[in-house]
Amino acid sequence: MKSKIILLTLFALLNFGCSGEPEPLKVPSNLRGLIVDSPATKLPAFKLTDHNGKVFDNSRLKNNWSLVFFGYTSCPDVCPTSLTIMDKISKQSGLPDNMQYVFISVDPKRDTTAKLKDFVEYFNPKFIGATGLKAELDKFQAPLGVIYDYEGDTTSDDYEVSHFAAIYIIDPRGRERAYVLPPHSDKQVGEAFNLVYNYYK
Amino acid sequence: MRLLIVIVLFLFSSLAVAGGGLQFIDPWVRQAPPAAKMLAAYGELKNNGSADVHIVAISSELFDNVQMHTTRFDRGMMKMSESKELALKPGQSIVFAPNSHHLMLFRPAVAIKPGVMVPIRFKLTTGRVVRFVLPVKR
Repeated sequence: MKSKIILLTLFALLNFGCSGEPEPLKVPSNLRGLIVDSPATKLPAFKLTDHNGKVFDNSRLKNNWSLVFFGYTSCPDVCPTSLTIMDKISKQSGLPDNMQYVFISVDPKRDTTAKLKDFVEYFNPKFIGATGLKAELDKFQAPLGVIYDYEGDTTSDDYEVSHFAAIYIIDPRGRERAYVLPPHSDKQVGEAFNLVYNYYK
Repeated sequence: MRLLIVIVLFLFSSLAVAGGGLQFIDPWVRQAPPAAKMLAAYGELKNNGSADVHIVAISSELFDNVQMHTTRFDRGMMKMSESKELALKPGQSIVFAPNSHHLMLFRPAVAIKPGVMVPIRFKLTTGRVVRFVLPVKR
């Protein structure tokens, strides 16, 4: 009997130690596009540069809930739409104090630090923009499943970038907790974030 | 001053229905960050006439180039494709809206901000050019 209890206890401890996860969040059927990672996806070390020229690495994601969107500043339609939505969300009530909004450019060739600053601060002065070498971008993006592709003449200034356009929810341990598929609305992304935050906080 | 605004608005609204039945309903150009080289214009373009309208080119004095694009989402991947021409039957319309069809405006000649009116010209197969003037909104 005693050995059975010890075994059961050991099993419970092991089980907890392996996942450390609550049951996966059940997404209501009327909330479109929210995909929850269970367990959360860890991100490898990466090092980018933000819109003020400062290092943007994993440590910048720690202790914050982050909404992260990947795009490029020459994008006329989707990126301004999604950043406008992120700005609207930032003005909603009931959000945690440690919330940040990040735009990652997948077009480092054209998106200089100055351009990124001009772009993100237009939507919200508190927004963070970052980009970097392709190898560093890919370290950040690959585990998130962000794919992108340049279309047109990349030696000119007029090429376009097809890119995965989800909004990611990164938890305060710097892990991908969930993402919201496009097309986005502020109501949809706001509800998705609140649901994920209140369940996993 | 108020009267002047009313007159100007009246002139613009009459422009908006001119041109062989082609009407641009609630058109607008989305203001973009100061250094933006690409902007987008939206609104509902409707053929209110009795004949087909076939658009073969779009231009603006304030931009290097104007194209019709469509945003598509393929399993979360955003892709844009260009449409070279557009045909509208009588009564038919196309809605340009964020995350969907849009007019893509390349390289502005001046700062595009609220207060600026952006002229857009649609060239038809008949050779006729229909001009609309779009306000800039955030």
